Amino acid sequence: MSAAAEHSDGGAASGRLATPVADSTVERRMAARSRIVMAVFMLCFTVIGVRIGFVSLWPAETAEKRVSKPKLEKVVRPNIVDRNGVVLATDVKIASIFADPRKIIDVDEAIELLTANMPELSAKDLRRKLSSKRAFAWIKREITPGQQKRVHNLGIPGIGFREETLRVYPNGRTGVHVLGHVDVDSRGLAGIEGYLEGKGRLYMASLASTDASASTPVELALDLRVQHALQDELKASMETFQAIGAGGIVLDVRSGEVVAMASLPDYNPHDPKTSLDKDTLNRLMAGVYELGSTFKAITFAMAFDEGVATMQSTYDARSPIRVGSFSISDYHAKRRILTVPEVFIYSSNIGTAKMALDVGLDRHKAFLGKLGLLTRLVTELPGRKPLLPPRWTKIASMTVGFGHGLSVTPLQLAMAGAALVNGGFLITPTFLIRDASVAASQAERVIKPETSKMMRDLMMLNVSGGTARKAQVKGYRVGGKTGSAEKVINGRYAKNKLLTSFLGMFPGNDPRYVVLVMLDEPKPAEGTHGYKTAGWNAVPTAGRVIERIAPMLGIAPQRETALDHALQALAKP
Amino acid sequence: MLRVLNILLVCAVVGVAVWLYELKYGVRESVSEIAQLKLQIKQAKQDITLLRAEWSHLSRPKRLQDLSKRHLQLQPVRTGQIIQEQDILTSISEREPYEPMQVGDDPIASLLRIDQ
Repeated sequence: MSAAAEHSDGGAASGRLATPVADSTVERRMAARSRIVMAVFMLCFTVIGVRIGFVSLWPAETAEKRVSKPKLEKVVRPNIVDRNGVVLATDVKIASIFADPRKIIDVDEAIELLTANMPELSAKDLRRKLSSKRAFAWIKREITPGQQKRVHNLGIPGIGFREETLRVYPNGRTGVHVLGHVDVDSRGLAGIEGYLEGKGRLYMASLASTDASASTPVELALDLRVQHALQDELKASMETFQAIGAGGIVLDVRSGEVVAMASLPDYNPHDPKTSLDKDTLNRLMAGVYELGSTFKAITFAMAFDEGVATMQSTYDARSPIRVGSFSISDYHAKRRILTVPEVFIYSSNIGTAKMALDVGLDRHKAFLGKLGLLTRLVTELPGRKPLLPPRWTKIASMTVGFGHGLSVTPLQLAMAGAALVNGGFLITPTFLIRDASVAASQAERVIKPETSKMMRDLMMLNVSGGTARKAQVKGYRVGGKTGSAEKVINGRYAKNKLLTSFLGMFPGNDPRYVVLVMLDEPKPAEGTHGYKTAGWNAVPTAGRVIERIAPMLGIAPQRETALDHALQALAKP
Repeated sequence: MLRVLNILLVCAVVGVAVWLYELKYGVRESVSEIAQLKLQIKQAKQDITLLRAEWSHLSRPKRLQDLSKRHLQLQPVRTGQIIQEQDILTSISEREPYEPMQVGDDPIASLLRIDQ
């Protein structure tokens, strides 16, 4: 190259020797051009070669992948688990068998094989389906994986499987009123399923990726074991007392978590048709009731908190109160002057009505409003609006004082009951898991801590020596208030039809849980001496529930202490 | 010189072609293996979901209660049976005190004595 350059330099200097110099110039230009062409070709071939390598090594994206069609699928729903991570609801892929009758070669053989492996199929039905001229016929919907394997191994031509998503509730009826159910298209219709539906599909899809292991389950406050214990005891009591319905709530007084909620009769979430039955409604939220004497606890707290009564106050319960044609009398009439603890444990209507009167109409209404008893309670599940008295008169105030004339949902009463015993904080109940510290930040003080202390003492006193004696549980201090309300039927109080309830709490000194039990129209049973009031049915049921659930909830039984004597002293005037 | 280069290049081309061929088939195999494994993973995950649901169904409290009632001689725990740690001493003293056995009563213990 350098020699050629020197040579060409010399040639260029001697301009006259034209031909040979011109020749060499052309040659040189040709060589340079061909080199450029070669280089370009080399480059092209290299690029092509590398590309060929890539193409043959990595599989090309298939056309369908690039133009991916959105698959039409049912809504993906997240798993629902209880507070301990036990699966309460999950999506399961399940196969259904279908047939393409045109492709079946030997109908008789196919029928024989299928019926031999699945005896529940009827040969006649199968023959009709397989002999038809259609291209598609369901043989059996929702088969087990075992059945699918067996049918698959038969290898009958024209028989195939189609996968479907099925919402499964492994615990059946346990907790059904909290969980709710879905329709055939996997849309949530009630309970937490309905709540998730309300949050929207995107929200649900974000929780439940199609890949089940990566999805975040919805954690409920529910404890399956407690839920079962509650449901089991309620069912037993419903049978013993031939009640037409029953309901129960276990509420954490510090976090507001609903640890268990059961309403009977219940329904099977896999057969949602039965949920439309009026009897199977969730009595604790979708029903409002005049809860009777149980409500007196609220009146007492109000009287203490407003400063119109102390533990030492006395009330004259010698004669019924008469207002116009209306009269208020006592069920367990003592016909003497009662102290405040006596008014509580004998559940005196007269005494409680007088307390309500002493507080006055406006303050009474304001107090009930503060406890959230006059408005709809908003939680994850729909609740019914309370039925208020048509006019707030003195009579209304008195009757509301002992639990008549104002209908609320039992969950509202449980929430108010929790506020009465937990030191005075109103905490909105939740069905989702919630930390006590989070609840504390949202809590609202509604009564003074001293009032709450007095309420705890009265409730414990009522269990140790009042109407709720049958709620005593060995090793636990239980407190509570009973109520036996006459049901309102066609606008009148039905003397024979009671709604009995018990608002209980444990452990007494430092309550952790409120337990509310109610029975609809219980009848006298063996050992109740013909009585059908709360003390004979709702109270012992709650006692049994507490005995079963307290160890599960991690509350150790304590030995009896001197506190009993202190309480007894309180009862003596 | 150029001939040698050409021969070398031809050899290289043939070599690269063979290598590419093998690589291509290797890749194809791996791809189908990956697809198969992905399918297996998906299937396994579905099985896990199904088994979890089944486990939950089989260990549901209602079923366990019915089964234990039918097959076991056990009763539900009464709260009186649970003792706090600080109460162990007082609670045990209520029960029969432990009396060490006389050496002569226990044949194995006396045998051990003899050995020593």
